Amino acid sequence: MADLSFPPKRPSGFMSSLGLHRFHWLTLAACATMLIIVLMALAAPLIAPHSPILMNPGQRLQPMSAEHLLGTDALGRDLFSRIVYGARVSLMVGAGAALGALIFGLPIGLISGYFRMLDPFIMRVMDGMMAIPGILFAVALIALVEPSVPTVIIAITIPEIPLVVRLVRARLLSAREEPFVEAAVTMGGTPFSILVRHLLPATVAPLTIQLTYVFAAAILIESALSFLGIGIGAETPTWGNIMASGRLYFAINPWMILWPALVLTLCLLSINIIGDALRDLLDPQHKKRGA
Amino acid sequence: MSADIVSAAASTVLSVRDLSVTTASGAAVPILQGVSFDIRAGQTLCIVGESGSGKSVTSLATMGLLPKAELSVTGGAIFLDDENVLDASPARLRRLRASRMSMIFQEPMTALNPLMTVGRQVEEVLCYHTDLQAGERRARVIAALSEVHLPNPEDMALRYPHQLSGGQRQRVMIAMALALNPRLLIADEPTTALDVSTQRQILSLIKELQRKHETAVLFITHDMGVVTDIADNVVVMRKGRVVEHGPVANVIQAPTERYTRKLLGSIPSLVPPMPREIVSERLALEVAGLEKTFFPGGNPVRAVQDVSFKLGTGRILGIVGESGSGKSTVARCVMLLERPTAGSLVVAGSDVAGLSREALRMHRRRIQMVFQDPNRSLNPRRKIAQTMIEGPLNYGAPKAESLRKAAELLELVGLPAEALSRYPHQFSGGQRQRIAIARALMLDPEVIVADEAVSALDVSVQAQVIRLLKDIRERLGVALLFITHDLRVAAQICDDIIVMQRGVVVESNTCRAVLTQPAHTYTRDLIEAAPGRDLDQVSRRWESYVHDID
Amino acid sequence: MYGFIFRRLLSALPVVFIIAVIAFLLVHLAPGDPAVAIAGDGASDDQIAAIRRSLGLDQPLPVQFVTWLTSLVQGDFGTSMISRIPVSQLILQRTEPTVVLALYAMTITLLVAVPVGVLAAWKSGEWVDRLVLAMSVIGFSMPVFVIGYLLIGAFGTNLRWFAVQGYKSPGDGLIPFLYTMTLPAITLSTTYIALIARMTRASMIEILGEDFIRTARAKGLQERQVLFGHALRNAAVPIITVIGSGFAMMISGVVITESVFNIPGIGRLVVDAVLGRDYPLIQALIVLTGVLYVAINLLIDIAYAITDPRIRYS
Repeated sequence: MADLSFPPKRPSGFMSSLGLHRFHWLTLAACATMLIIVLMALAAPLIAPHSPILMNPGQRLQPMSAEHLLGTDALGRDLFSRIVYGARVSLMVGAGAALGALIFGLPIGLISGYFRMLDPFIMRVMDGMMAIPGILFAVALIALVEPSVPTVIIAITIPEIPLVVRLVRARLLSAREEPFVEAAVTMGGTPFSILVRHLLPATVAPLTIQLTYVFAAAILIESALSFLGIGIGAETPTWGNIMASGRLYFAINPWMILWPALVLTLCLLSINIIGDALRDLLDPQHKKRGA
Repeated sequence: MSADIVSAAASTVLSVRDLSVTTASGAAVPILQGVSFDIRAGQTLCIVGESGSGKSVTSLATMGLLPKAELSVTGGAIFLDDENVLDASPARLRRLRASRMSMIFQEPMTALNPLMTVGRQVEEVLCYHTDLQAGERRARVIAALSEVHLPNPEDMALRYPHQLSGGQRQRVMIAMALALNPRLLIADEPTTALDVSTQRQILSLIKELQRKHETAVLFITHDMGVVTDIADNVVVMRKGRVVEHGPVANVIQAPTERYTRKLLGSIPSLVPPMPREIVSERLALEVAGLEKTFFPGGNPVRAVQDVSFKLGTGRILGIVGESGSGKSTVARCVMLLERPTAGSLVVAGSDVAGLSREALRMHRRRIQMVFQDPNRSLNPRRKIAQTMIEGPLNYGAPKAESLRKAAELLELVGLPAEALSRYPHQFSGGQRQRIAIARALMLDPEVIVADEAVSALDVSVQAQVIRLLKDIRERLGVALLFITHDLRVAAQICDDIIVMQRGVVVESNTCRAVLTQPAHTYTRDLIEAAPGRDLDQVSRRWESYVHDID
Repeated sequence: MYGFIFRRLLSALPVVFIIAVIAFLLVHLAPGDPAVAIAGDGASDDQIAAIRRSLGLDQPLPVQFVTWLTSLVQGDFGTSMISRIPVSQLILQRTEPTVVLALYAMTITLLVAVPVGVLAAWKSGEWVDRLVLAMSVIGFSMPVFVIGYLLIGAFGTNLRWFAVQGYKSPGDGLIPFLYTMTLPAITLSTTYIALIARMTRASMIEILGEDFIRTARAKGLQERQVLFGHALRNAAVPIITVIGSGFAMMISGVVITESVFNIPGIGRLVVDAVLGRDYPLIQALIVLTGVLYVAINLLIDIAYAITDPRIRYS
């Protein structure tokens, strides 16, 4: 009873502050939205009524109609079809960056947390990387090589790596202090067995949460790069590119920007809500409070 | 104390009537049910109970500090001088706090704002509740600090909490609580986090100030020893209900309820049982000239200096000391979780010095450890079976055989074999410590090091775990190095005792000799400071109630 | 205390060095030859070789690095390959609009985010809290350019309350300044407000669960005093830390905001530099923003140490 604290400690996530857990309608809605976007990307040729790249000068800047659900852009391309295809690039970039951040961040974080000799060096390099704004780094890298989906993924992934490294390292260092790890040492565990049985499992939950945010951040940065005209080439339909091509006509037809903006925002919102829900579900502190 | 004479004349300060509290969200789980008691001016009422008894909730409800989102009062009344505080407006409640009733808490380390000088924190009480000018306030702050016997109160007022010791911080808390001479002081386990000698000083300070100001004191504690030392009346609580209630002499000397008897019977006696015969001349552990120096921030701190002892097979050696004595560092050095700066370590006849990494790993199975906090020493993500067989698997034992052994050992510590398929959080604190003990036995060690292994447990559970450890020693002949700050626990379990103070061994002898004829003044002080000296007779009488099942 | 500042300064040096290394390697190790890129399509091999010589690209990498770093330390960032103006001069010309925009946005952020976060923490679990959290998740999920265009659509094109592009400094008068810069500042601050409000809330909730808050309440202090006198100061550290680490995020926001609102600041310079493949300019911008990030976080650490007696007296 002595540890009764007040006001009540609540998990910091959005979901559980709504007082609901596992299967809240918002989480479900977010999952459904993401599912739709994923399906949209996979089945783009089946869903899109028109070619996303075919220009049709006779059909420029059409309003919404049965023929063109969301109208057409300045080159007469069907906006709806372009948005459907745009999901492909966004999801590829998001997944690629999350995967890349994991593949590089996890081992480097483990090395930094486990081999204390290398730690200061690795952490200074990570500090240096963190100091450079991600968009600036991506922009600079893309300026040097031909912008394509892989290069954009690489350019976006590299600035995300330090965050993953620091997270893994911090979890490792705090887990190492736990008495159950000391108990494992006294029971004759080798460094490897302790790493596999006790330390790595401790990083899974925070890493999963972090990677959802990397996923969202990558999609956001990709769209920003495209929007600025320094991302993937303008001929590839991406949400950012669609908005960029609508900039000049914003006063005439704001929907050319607003439709892709809406889809992009919904996508990011869904990922962030899923990330928060995961945090509420997996966060060990939250778990401890709930127990 | 002549409680009866005082109470006859004094008025009732606090009267709790039929207080009921439930959880606020979801199903209303009852937390308190029909709790009633009175306290008169100048009297001390102790609420004693184990964790989950609702004793802290009672005190928070009185202060109007219940976490509203979690707990709500569903019935009853709390009268502070005829005013029902449950009906008071928030503004009125704030007025009452500090001026009419005030409270001190368990953790003096965290109860003060780390970014504010302690003088300023005391002054805040005056700022809000009085119209005093700055100069007068300052004088009052200094007076309050000197009333709690802090040295150099002018200087103390300018210090930050982290610059004070735990005892000093608790004095500041008391100064703050009593600055406006409240009618009621609520003390929620105020000495639990402190060493025994500091505890004694704080208790006598509370008594002194109470006598001076005729304050009514509501004292929450889990420690029957503290109760006998300071209470006029006692309320024994269990699972949100009052079990027994009455003058301290009656409740302690002639308890009528089984639960009270169990609590009293669980208190370890300061008088050790007759010494056991030495059955084996074999030495399980031999430590000579152990030194450990830390370098926090570059400056050497000699945590352990020249510690030597011998632990025979089947014996239990206690290392006793207050915080900062270096007793835990000795344990960690013996386990080679810390590398000793100097000294030799011989376990079961083989010297540990200069072992290669692999040889050290092979050595570790001979000496196992039980940690203080069973919540943290068992990996929450792994099933009990996985945790239990981890050691044997590390040394290449077959899995099926290890699982069989795990089931046997769980039975030995009083848990069913089904426990193997569960996770740690599905067990109570006492059960988890039993699992940790069983785990330590999985490798058939020569020595088990138990570092404050029963300190985090409720007293009735503690008594059962002590019994278990003695039983295991008896049956398996394992040697036990038992680290504790609690002389009572040491008296009940140890054959021999080492007393440590600031990294040095000040006394070392058989348990009986150390406790009945202490040679060193520090040991005498420790024994003197242990609360509830006259409890031994009582506790022996109710010993059989320890095995009561909840 | 001075020891702490000294140690902290010392630990910042290698980070700055690594930033320089990254900026250097980025240009020199990336696939693709800067000289070819600069020369453009259809350049002859001789032209490319000449460019390579003039940039010192024919030297071994370490030599190039030392040469580059030496001039960097002396404040020489090289000459822009597009405009032929010294890079430092180019950057200096563009600094004011960005600094003004960033300060305006930061002011809005702090005025909104901190009180809102404190309120949400205080009313934790109630509808105000849920509203704040919902708004912050939405705000955090909206790309900066989307916010920009929504604002332009609503307050610029339709209501005509504010200008939708260009730059006015505070020196041009308060009204023109507010008229021109308010939309960009709100655009830039939205993500930041979402982030800091959420951090303030989380940090405050944690602190409000501390024992000394219970002590403050037990003393009979008013909630206002408990929140602002005791809790907020203790909760400040993670909040300020986020402000510092969020600086990198702000740079991204600046690049986009300046592009949306056509403000001639550093952000536009970045885009121009990239579009023109102006390598010396890109390197200089990376090094400068990196160093600025390190400096800001250094200042925050020191400020924190000064206000926290636990560090001050050790």
